Amino acid sequence: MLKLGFVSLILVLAMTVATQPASAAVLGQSSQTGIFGEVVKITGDHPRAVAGEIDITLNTDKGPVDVTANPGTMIRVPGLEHPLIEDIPLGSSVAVLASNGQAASILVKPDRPVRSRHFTGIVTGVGEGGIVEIEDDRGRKISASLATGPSVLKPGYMVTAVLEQDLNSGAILITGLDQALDNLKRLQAALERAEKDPATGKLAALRQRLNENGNRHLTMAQNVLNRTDTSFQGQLKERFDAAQKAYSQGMSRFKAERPSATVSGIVISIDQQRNLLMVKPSGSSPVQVIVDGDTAIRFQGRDIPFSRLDVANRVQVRYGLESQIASRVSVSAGATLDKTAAKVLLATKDPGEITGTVLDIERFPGELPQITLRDKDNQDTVTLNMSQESVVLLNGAPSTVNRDLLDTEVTAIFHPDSLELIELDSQASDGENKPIRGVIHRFVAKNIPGNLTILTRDEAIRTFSRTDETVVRRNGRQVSINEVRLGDLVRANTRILKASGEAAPVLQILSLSSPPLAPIHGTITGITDAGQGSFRATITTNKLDIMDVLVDADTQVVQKGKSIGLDGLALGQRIVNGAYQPITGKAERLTVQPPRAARISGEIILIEEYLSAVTIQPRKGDPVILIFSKTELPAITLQNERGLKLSDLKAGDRVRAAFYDPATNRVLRMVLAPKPDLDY
Amino acid sequence: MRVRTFAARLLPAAALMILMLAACGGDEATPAGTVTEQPTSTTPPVNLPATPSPTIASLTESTPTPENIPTVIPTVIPSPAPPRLAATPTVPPIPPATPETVAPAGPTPEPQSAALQLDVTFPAEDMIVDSETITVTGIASPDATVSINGNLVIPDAEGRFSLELTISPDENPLAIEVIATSVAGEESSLVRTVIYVP
Repeated sequence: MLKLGFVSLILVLAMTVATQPASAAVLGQSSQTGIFGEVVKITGDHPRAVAGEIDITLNTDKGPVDVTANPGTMIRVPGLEHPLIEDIPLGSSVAVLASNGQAASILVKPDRPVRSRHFTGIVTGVGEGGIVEIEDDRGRKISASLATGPSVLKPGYMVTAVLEQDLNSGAILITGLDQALDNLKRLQAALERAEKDPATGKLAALRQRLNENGNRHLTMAQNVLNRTDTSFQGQLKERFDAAQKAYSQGMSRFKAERPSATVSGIVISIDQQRNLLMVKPSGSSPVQVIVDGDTAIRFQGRDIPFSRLDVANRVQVRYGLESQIASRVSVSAGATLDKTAAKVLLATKDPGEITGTVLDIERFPGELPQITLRDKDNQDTVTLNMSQESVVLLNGAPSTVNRDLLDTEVTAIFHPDSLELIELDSQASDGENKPIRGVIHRFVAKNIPGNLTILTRDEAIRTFSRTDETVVRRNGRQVSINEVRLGDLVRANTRILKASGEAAPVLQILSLSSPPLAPIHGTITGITDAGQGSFRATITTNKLDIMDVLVDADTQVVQKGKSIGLDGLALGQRIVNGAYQPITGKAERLTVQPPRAARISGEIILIEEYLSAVTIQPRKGDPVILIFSKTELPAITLQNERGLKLSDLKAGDRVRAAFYDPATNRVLRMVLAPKPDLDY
Repeated sequence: MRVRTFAARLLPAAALMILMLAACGGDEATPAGTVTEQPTSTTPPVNLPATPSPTIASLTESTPTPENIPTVIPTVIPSPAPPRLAATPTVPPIPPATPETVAPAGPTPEPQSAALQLDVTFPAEDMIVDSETITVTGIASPDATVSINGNLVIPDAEGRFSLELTISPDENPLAIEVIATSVAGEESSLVRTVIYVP
């Protein structure tokens, strides 16, 4: 017993060392150290900098720690291909592997996944070389090589693809594919288990998951089916019916709901006599549903009768696919700003704003005036430069800059970098209400209480009432209410009347500006036809964010300084500079570069290890000789097996995708096909 | 610097457990550097949102879109207060749809009583390990699609999952990206960082 206790104690001590979560620790006899900390200082202000040594001070749990980065230090920063020390932001959290104070490797810790992500959609194509096309219900499309996945994949399957980005080759790979009907099987297995052990109390929650999974699967499948041209619809309809049957059986077996779908759109007809409601989604055919006594119709959190619904209401309806009976109708009060657009708009640089007294107006010959203000809050003085675009409002009316403004209290909005005046308003904030800055989040043209909401910079949604007396301005000029758009930026000289009780405050002045263009950078990973000669391009960024933009005849598409038109867009191209309207998603300009890597698939017919060369015979065309660098070994993968080497390859192996530098034929990434290969 | 509590709590408990095992005459000890204890509870955490003020609502309290559903979906959906004239219980008139300037984001699943679950039980945040292989373990909803550094991992009927990763020299320190999504459109993710010190 004593011996056993001693052994246990040793094991405990070993375990303590092995799993130590520490800010700085040295393990075993190694001279290496692992350090976690926050970068507080980076300096090359010493003679050693000549040799490329940069000192980095980290704030760790155990106090400040200094490490030195040298030219051999490996640095990784999320989203950057070849980062340098200067790319490490001050304040960032890092993990450092160091030895005797020298950093061998520095990783800037990502705060979210940046190399992998999931994409759920319907398979719309499986092509040669294992390229799978997946489209989601927002019309975004990913076309990528399937590195690991099932041996059978047909259009119409709903899948969740695990995507991995290889920044070296610029390739997006599907490294895993989970079919939605497999998710259903797992859920049924969990339900069966929960049924046998009801004490766990999981049954209701799992049933709810079954209902929601089924609803989203069938809704997405139906949406993609409706968007697809008729020649392709047969296959998709077959999968849709199979999925509906699978959910129907599962739901029946576990006493859940019946299979349902959700339609969002505008009410285009109401038949009160026959209790019918017709809803038209954007871009697809209307859906007719039956409203019965059990249908819950809700508006702003309250139940309302069917008779209150009206044509042109914006609704979201959940209905049974077999019965067409609506179980829920949610009525929305006006269009709401899309979350993606909201995120982009809130990220735009906030213009400077100051409320204070005009101290001085200076005029220099041949130049526009400069206005000096004293900030009411901190008594600082700021001098702003007038430009041709600057707007000055005196008592609400456009005015020139004159001495009348001296000693008056104004609100000025300006570019924070250039200090160029954008708008100066003599009707300054009254001090009772803090300036409101944000974007129009929801807007109802009708004159009702709470008809406008603003998403503020701190991501709160504030509700206001716009009345007939509300003055609406755009870029300082009074406009009609019809010119208010979702996503308009709300300027700081917006004024509200003092709110009474819990009622939404009434807007006295609503000062707006149009949202600026948002930048685009990334790789084109999907292109779909959007009709009328336009396309939707799906773009993935270096951090694997996915966005899509509308590209039409008005979009400037430029490569190497020349316009290449819409037809010049292709998968894999890199957008190095681009801008789009965040509200409409329309691209204004795209400057593209060719794909970083060329791609080939085929069979390995010759391996010459002494030359580090492999010859691949594609299904069509001439064989291609690819070179393997001895210093920068490319990643070679087969299913989940990673880290394969050139010596692991053999003639006859099928290459699903090899990405290589077209200038040197150097391999950047290689994905071998499993045996048997994908059946498509 | 994040606070790490997992190992700090685990190790004394593990030490106590092994010593008790030894005292009771047990003949098997937990191997050093591994974690064998698995969570048994799959009850998802439920966070009730704070009651919103009459005119201010959090952005995350708006209806989730399929693309970005909150990690923890509240079981109680805060209803926005009537916009004005709160004393009168009448429902305000329903406005007609305003001209659409934004493409609809597609169907929005209703919040569920059982939200998507994701918890990584090992490794804890910011760990230093002395083995180049590390077994990532965790628990998710059983129907979830889970990936660890781009590797698809299938949870069992209890939602448990695990995957062994090798920390290669050019990926040391290693950021471990764990993502869970559901067919219903929920998404949850987290990143753990480990440093392998031989």
